Amino acid sequence: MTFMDRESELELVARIRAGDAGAFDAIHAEFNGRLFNFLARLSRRREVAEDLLDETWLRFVDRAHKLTPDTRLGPFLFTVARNLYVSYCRARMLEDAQSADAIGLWPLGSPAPSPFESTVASETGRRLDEAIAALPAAHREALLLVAVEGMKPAEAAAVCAITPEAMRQRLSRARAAVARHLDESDNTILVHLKAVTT
Amino acid sequence: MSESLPLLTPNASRGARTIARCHDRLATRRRRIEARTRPSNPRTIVAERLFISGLCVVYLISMAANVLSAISPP
Repeated sequence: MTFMDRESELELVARIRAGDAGAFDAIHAEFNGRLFNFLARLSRRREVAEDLLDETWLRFVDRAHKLTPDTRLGPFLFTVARNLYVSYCRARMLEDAQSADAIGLWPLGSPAPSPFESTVASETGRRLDEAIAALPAAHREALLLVAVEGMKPAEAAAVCAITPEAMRQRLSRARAAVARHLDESDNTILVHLKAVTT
Repeated sequence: MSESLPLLTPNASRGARTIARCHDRLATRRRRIEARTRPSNPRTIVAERLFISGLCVVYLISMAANVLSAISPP
């Protein structure tokens, strides 16, 4: 996973505002995989993640000329993706009104098996994936943005439209829940998790 | 932590279609901006200037005629 420096990012923003297809390709190459992993783990369904990913890029292009020159592409794109997922959840809740166990905005997720089971390569990765998939959606997105995407808690709070304090609480609860799923052999992950979420 | 998680790969052919759609939208937008900011044909500019100058001359002549008719004795 590579992260572009700020100078390159500002240059790309200037070019994409002017409608430069080359700038779009560079931004797509940088963020497409990251957005897909975020959406797939958030929605826990590959086909939903694919749909939301397409829509994220189309929305991005439609709004590209309105970007401010100092836009941070990562938070912007993850905000678009996250908002699309929230809209998807709302639409699904309307369709699935008989779902009694849905709490607030966030449905508890699909009863279908995780799409990651077939792709998991390591035992640790599998346990970590399971731990993340088992989190409530609000905690899951917090953990994905901060611990996986490397955003600062304040940036992630802006993406999720909550206060930094609320984000810290979500991170703390997510970390505790993940720790319960992992055993002592996964100590390295737990240490890293604690470092990035506190 | 991201290194510990298995990396999921999006569908490449679908991604290529999305990129093509995005390029189309960007091109459409560029064309619209260019059409809005494109400089006019030099002949059109000359014709516009001649027309406006003609209107000014007619206006000034009519003004002068009015003033002369107002100050001249009946």
